[in-house]
Amino acid sequence: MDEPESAQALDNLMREYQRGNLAAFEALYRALAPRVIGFIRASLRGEARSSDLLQETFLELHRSRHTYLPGHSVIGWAFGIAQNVMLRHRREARRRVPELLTDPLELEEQLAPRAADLEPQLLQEALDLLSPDSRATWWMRNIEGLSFEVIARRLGIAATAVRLRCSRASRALRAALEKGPDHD
Amino acid sequence: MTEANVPASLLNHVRANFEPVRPLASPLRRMLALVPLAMFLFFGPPMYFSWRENLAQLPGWASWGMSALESLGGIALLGLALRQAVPGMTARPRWILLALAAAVLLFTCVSLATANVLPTPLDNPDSWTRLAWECVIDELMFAIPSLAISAWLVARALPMRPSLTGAAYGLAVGLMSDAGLRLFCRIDEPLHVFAGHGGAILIGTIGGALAATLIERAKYRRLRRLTNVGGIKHRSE
Repeated sequence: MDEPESAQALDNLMREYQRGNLAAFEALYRALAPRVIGFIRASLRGEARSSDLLQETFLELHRSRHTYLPGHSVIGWAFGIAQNVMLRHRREARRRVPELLTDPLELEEQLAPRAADLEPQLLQEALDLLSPDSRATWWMRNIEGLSFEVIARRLGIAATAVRLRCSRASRALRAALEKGPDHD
Repeated sequence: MTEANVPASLLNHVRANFEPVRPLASPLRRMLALVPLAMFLFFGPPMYFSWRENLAQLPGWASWGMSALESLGGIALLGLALRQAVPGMTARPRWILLALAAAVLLFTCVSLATANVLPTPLDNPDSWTRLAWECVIDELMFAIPSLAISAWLVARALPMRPSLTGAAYGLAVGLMSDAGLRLFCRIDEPLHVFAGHGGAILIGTIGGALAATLIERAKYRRLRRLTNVGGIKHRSE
């Protein structure tokens, strides 16, 4: 099957999937996995478990495929499931003995806004408000999970500058999200 | 993207558990399907026990009207809980909390308004705890089966915040049960109503939150077992 892009195409695939078409599941995976993994990475701020959580998300998606209501947004539904998986993962992690955060950078990242707590649509809108440089830096750090040093090499600037740019972008993003339009 | 193709282990699992499914009805249709449950909770307690002795002394709006209002409030809250359980249709936690607060306010207003229209103090103030306890038991008798049905309906979907969703359907069932119980219980003394009827609603709310949390935790454990035992996980990074 071709890569479906439009909401209508995804909706048709979901209907086929619910009717028991395995090829539709594979096409859906190809269309949704890159977006879902980006969403997970943005929430986790690292790639350590993102692949596992992607599999968990698709497993849950398969188990909950009857909860998709035809005619609604497939992406919104899939992100809802991913967010659910991550929240459960986080609750599970909280129940375990918390490790002490000794690295100031790690502590700073723990305090930054997490995409899993936000509506994907709002996050996207807030990202659009950032300057291209800030957005690219924030994206490389938070979505691709690259280190400050790697980003610095890519952009040809000092690691300290990357760190500063990331921090400013996070602050701007947080402000935009707090001020942003209420879709409820 | 490295994840563009379905990992073989995931595909095998999906293939082994693949059958056509019927999509859930929309939350609105599922909510309407619960109207018979609301009717059962509305007419059940007075028909099973007896109609309150002083029903004729209450104006229609304060007896039937207020009970209908509570019932409708309960149905709306139940509808919200069902909607909350569908991925992608989840409302923000603050809206759920607001709905819960509105439901509590509704119960408070209905109880105070009825007590104001027809003040019926306790005949024997010393026995207020026994009477309140009796009302808790009577209300829970009808609420628990309805709570189980609501829990099952929500568990069929995937609630994002189980404790909040559970609290919402627990409170909804409590409100609907109280709509019927107040047509049986003749005492409108606020102390009795808040301790007895409100106590049952509180137990329903906590019970719902607990049930939904435990159910979702069990479902998650099953999922984790599948990913661990079935070898679904593949660490490609």
